[in-house]
Amino acid sequence: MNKIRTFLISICLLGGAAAAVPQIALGQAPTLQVSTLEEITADIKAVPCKNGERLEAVKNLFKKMGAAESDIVIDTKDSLKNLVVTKKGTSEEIIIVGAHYDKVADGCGAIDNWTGITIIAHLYRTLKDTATDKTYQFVAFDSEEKGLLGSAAMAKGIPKEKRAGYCSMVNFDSFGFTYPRTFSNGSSPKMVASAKALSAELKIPFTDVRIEGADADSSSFIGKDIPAITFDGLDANWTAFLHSSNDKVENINMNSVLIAYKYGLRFIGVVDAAACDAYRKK
Amino acid sequence: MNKSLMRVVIVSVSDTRVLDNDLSGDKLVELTTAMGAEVVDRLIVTDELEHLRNVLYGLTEREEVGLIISTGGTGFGPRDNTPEATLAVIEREAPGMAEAMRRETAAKHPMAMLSRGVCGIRGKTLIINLPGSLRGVEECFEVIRPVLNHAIKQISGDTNHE
Repeated sequence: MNKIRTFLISICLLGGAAAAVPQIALGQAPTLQVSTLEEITADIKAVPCKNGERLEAVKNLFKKMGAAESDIVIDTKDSLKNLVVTKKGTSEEIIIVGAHYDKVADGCGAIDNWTGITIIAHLYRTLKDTATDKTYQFVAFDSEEKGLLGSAAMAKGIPKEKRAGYCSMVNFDSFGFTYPRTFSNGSSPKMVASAKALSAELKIPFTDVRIEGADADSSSFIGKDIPAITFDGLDANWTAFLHSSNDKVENINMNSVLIAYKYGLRFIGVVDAAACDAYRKK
Repeated sequence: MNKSLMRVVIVSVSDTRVLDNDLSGDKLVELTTAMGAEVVDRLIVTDELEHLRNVLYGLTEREEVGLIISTGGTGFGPRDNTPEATLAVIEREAPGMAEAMRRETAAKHPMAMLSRGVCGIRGKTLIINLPGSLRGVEECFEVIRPVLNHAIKQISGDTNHE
């Protein structure tokens, strides 16, 4: 089995990601600080494998990405601690960009979900000095693995009359194997359609997946009428890696994470340009 | 896990659909569930050959998956790659199933001759290609339904490729 897995990973590296993936052009702003494979790899390799050390590590990662101490808010509800970093736009309409930072007991939690944390931190780095229409809240969620607790607490804390001011939530959960996929269980159909169109534009394969019995933080927002989407970068054999001792840095194809970060930039470009109610049900 | 309890993954191959409007995939969930199978995952993938191959290969690596049914990508179009992706993954073909589906459905609709779907086995997983249309899915599934349980039982029985 191990041999076969190594073989698969090398296939992904050679054919799936490194060779076949077109460079995603970011274009426009020359001052844009676009992260490199080396930078992203280094931040993933720094993953703390103990739950108790992860919140502090997320905070330090955002500082490294250019957030001032005063920009970083630890939003505490009961014993749940979500970390929130805000980037202002020209409008006060909000888009949440999220990833959970907790892990299950087994494995290091490198794939699930230090990859997502690294992606949103680097998205912050690139977007923080860029003019955007919407205001962005980058959120590292607590206790996803215990039942979406951190995201549910945040979603519940948004008063009903303010929900319309939250355009959407974009969630990143578990990468390292292939191109970004949309996780259908926790995604609004209109946002999935947008993602599929973006993948087609970028000429990369697209997968929309529904996994019985699985869920993600985006569902907490959909439950409160805020459109949301979860991206992952898993392949079809994900059950062999997540929530097990195989969830470690060595099994991550870093190109999958880099592509998801660049794809995330493009996707944020799409939702930033869209009307705030574009993804809501009619 | 016991693979003889039929655990199925439905793979819809389409450049346009998403799971929200995947009628053929919905139909396959209905048909397999009705025969007591458990659908563990559903995917919609675009039909780049290598990507599709990797998806099918990854699914066959999963201990619990005994059956993969695909819908779409079996025609003559330039992006119809499902048979080639399947052939790249399977170790043993099951031509009888593919031929029976073509024979039965082509008798009613000559266009069914244009379906290039293949069936075959890798390890302990059976892969079946069905056409993309809703009618094609229903009619082809009807043809293989009587033998599916027995096929899965045989595969999970004495053949061991480890």
